[in-house]
Amino acid sequence: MAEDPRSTDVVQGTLDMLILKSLSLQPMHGFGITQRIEQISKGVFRVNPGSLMLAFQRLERGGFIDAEWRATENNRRAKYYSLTKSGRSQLAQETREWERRSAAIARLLEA
Amino acid sequence: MSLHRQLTRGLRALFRKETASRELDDEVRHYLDMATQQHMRTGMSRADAERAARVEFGSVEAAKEEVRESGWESSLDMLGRDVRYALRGLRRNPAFTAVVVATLALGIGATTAMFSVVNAVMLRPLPYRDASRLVLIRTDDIRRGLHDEGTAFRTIDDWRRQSRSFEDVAFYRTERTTLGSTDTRERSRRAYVSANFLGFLGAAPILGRGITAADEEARAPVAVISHSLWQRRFAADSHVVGKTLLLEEGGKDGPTPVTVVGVMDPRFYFPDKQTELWTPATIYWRWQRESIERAPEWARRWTAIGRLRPGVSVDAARDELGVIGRRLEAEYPSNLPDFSGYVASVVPVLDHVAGKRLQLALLLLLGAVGLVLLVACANVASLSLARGAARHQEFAIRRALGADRWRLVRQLLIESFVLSGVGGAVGVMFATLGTRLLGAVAAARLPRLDEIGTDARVLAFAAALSILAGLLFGVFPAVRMSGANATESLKEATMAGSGVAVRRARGLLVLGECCLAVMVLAGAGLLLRSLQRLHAVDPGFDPSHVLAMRIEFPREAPETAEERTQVSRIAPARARGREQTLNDLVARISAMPGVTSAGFTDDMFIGGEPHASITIPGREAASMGTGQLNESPVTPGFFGAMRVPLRSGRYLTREDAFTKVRALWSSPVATHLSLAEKERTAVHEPVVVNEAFVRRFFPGEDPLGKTFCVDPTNKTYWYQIVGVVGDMHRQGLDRQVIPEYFGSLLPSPSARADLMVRTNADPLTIAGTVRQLVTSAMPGSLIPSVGTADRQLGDQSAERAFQTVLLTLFAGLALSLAAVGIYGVVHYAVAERTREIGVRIALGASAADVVALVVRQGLRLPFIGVMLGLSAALAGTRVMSHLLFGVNASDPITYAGVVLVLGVVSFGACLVPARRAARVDPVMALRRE
Repeated sequence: MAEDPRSTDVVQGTLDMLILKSLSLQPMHGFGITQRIEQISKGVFRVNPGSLMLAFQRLERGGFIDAEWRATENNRRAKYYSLTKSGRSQLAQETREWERRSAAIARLLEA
Repeated sequence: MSLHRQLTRGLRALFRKETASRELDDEVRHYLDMATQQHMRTGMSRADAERAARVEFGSVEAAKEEVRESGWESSLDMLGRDVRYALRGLRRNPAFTAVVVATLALGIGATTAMFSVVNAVMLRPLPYRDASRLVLIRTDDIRRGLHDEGTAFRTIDDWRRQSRSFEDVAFYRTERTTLGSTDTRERSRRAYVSANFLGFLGAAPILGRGITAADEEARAPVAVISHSLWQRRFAADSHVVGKTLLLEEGGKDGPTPVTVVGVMDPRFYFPDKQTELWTPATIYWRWQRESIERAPEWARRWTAIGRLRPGVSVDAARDELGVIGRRLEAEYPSNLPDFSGYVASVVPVLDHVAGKRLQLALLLLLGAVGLVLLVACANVASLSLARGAARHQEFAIRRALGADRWRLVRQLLIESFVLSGVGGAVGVMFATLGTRLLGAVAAARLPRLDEIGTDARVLAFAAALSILAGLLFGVFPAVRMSGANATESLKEATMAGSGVAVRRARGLLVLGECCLAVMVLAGAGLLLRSLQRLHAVDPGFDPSHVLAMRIEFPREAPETAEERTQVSRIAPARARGREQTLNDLVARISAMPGVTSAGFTDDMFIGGEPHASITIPGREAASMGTGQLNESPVTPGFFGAMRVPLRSGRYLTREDAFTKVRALWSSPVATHLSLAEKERTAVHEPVVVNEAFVRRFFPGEDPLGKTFCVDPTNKTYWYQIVGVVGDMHRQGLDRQVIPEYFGSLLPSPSARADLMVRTNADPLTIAGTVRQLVTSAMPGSLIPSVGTADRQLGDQSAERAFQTVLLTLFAGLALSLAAVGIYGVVHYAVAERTREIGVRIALGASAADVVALVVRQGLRLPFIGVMLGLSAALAGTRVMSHLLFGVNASDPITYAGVVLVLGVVSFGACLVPARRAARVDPVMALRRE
């Protein structure tokens, strides 16, 4: 996709949350998640693939997402991730926390 | 956080590296494919799309590496690789590895072995519940200076009821007993215990039950027996409960049966390993009489044991008992001369089993062996530095290529830990073997040593030591080598072991080693001198070639009713008869070929703390002084047999024995008479006293003819001094001689006595014959033990000998290690200066000159080390002064000896490389680069 010179890397802590959110609708593979995040943020955020891979390992080992290999055309395979139950509650928790913080920042900026 | 997943995924990545790698590859490739496709959808060519995708992704390898490293298993993997690398390096240098492992094995092994001893004696809890809170409560007789005495039941009961420092208080006493009858008789030891006893100790029988309050109340003749007794006399019969065991008891005619109600666990023992059965206190044959008294000595034979309440200290308990004691003193005073008062002593049971002195000595030994370990580590550090200098370039290159310094340090430390781990493992093997040997040899002489073994605590200690050792000798070389300034080292064509800093470091290490070695040597030297001084003490008798046989006189048929009415006629006749038997026996033994003389005494090597009390007419009781006093009956030939010198007067004779019989059975004197009047009419038993007795009671006077008595208010019994003999050290050569008075030995039934037979050859060869003579002269007598006086005298200093041998061993170890260290440093110094030595030789230096040069240089640092060590030792050996005998901690002969020994050894260590230096070919040396 076109590179917006103003787009910034997603911060690590929020990357986890964004991955979980993307997976909350349907299982996806890594590139799909990148696409979704970059599209919906309208190019504001850019996903670093290395960080993405790291986050996948972290989340998978933490039990928040499951991984599954599916075959693709040309005899390759792709790793699809899906949200687990504890991932779902983790997402809810992180969302709440994020909303709490951004509300506080908004108040501070207004004051 | 899913622990299960973390573990499984990590392990999978660790052991299936290719699979994990392939998965990551596939995932990345798919990602790039998708990105490429997307780029192509915007119209790029395939090649351009692929390139764009790759650029956007960034470094694929870096990303994969990051993912790999973020798992916990990667650090484990790295550790594994470092260990394998270290092992490879060590395998390539077998000489270095062997020396280092051997050195560490010796150091760690010796320290672990010593710790095993400390563990067995001091750290391992006694086999009772909450053993750390158990204390023995006994009486301290302040007035007479006697400690840890027995107490009357009444007093113990008062302590239990009035004191709040204890959860519970139990009491016991032990005595010798004989099991079985006629053919199956054997010696054993029994304990009378209060009902709560086994529960109190937290011990449960493996069969049957313990002693209950009901047993105590009913005075039931029941017994709980030990595992060993059960196996020996009941062949481990599982139906033993309810069976009877015959016991001989004082005051009863013939053996009485007790019913076995329980059997104990094989590891249980109380209060010592010889006690094999436990019976209720109330069946003690004098219980009813004794349990109502407080003051008389014969009622004060019980020992109390209490469990402190949590949070109560020993001192607090002692203070509280002091308050109670004063209250009792006011309520129940007594003017009996041997009344001990109500002051209590409270001592933790562990300190009773393994005395404070022994515990301190063991800790000192542990400290000493720790010093040896430091010397070993110094040696290994020195070797590591030498080897490290050879790898100088390797590390410089790695640093230059960008290696992380911490990584290098970690790798070097892992090498150290591998070495110390292997050394530690080998050391533990040595230690286990050594301690097993020690347990077999020394177990009988030292408390709890038979329980020695390598348990979890010892292994943990050895592991900690290995880690510590690895750190000690690894840190400095690791930091030094990894910090190598890259370019400088690459420029230098350096030799192994060289570099000023390395040389200086190794020199300091040698200095330290010599200092430590001096300290350990000083300690060993002082102990050796103490042992020497101890053996120089004249025991007061000649123990060589003397057979020592402990005999128990046979029981006699009980008096008939008729005999009891004629006691004043029958008893003396019997006593004379027994004396005759004994005299004939001694005569027959003395007539044996190979025997010089023989004699009896009641207890040759006095166990316990005897405290007879006497009254001297015309003297105040208070002026009698405090301390021990022993009454020791002997047969006339005893002093001659033991070669005890006569100082004045005469030895005892058979006539004296007859006088004693008269004195014992003379008509009782009216108690209302004054002491002087009593003396006038009494028959005096002739006694011989020793010089200590004279020093205490008749200083500056001639004691011959003087008299004294016992029990002055009641059945006053009189003695008269007829001779003075030399002092005998019967309680150990390092203890003060106690005052003794010797009367004639009249054997009484079931009493114990020691038969001493002087021979002119090995005394044990006649033991069999003597035994036969004894049993034929006195049928039914028992012979519990046979030995030689020499050996028994030696046994008294067994603890001291043990400490001395150990410390000397440690000193030898330290000395050898220091010697090796000195040798290593001088050897490398010579190698470095080969060229210079070549020049000197070429310019005309003789072999002697070269040797002198090398030796002088080589001894410089050890000399400083020795001086430092001497000052440290002079300060430090003060802590062991209570272990010494006959020397004080700054004994100049010892220190001179230490300096001499270390000097000679250092000189030798320098000499070997020095002589090799003298043989250097100057042409070869000068040609070397």
